[in-house]
Amino acid sequence: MENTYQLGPTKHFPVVTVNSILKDVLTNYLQEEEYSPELCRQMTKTISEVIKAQVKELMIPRYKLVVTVHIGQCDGQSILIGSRCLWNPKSDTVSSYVFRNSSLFALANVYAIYFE
Amino acid sequence: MEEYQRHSDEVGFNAEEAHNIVKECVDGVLGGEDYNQNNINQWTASIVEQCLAHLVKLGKAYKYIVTCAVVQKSAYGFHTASSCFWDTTSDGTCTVRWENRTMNCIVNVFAIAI
Repeated sequence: MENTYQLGPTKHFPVVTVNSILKDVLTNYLQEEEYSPELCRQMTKTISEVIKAQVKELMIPRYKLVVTVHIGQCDGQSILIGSRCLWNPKSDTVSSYVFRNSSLFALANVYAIYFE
Repeated sequence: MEEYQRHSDEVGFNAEEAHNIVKECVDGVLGGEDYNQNNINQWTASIVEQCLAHLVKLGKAYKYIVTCAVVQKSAYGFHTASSCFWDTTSDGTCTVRWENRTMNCIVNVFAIAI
């Protein structure tokens, strides 16, 4: 891509819109589902593709996206998921949402990185 | 970033180097430890911060995202997937799975060229 000679993005990443996209997608896909290995294996891949497609439709220019989805069984075990990023906090951001039902939990993260 | 530094991106992201760095960090923090609810927060934070510090020392023109999931070993199910919209020639990812007797650890590194 060409140099823009701009100091920052003209249009910032809409975190709130993306939060609601994550909430809708996770709720629609997982509301009634029970945990099962085959289903969830497929679900993680499908959900991450769907989220990526919906966020791409927002057409925010010069932003690269990384979408990660974790789905696990709720079985009384303990899990901790953490992340750190080395980026430019003025232009880059992350959006995340956790969905829970009686048998499973799902965490979706969208990292948006400005291509300077 | 200056134009003259872009030549390093043509080689792409070196996933093997990142794999070794991450594996060493995880071994250093979790090696020989048993799952412990009290320490887990500290451990994930250390793993991620040490990985980032080592990756930065490589001195390449990349932004990094490092995620770490530590799970207790039991009869549970856990799936993770990721989908990325980026430039495949310059950006890359690397995943390291590590386990011991009481826990599993998954670390993902995403490197995005500036």
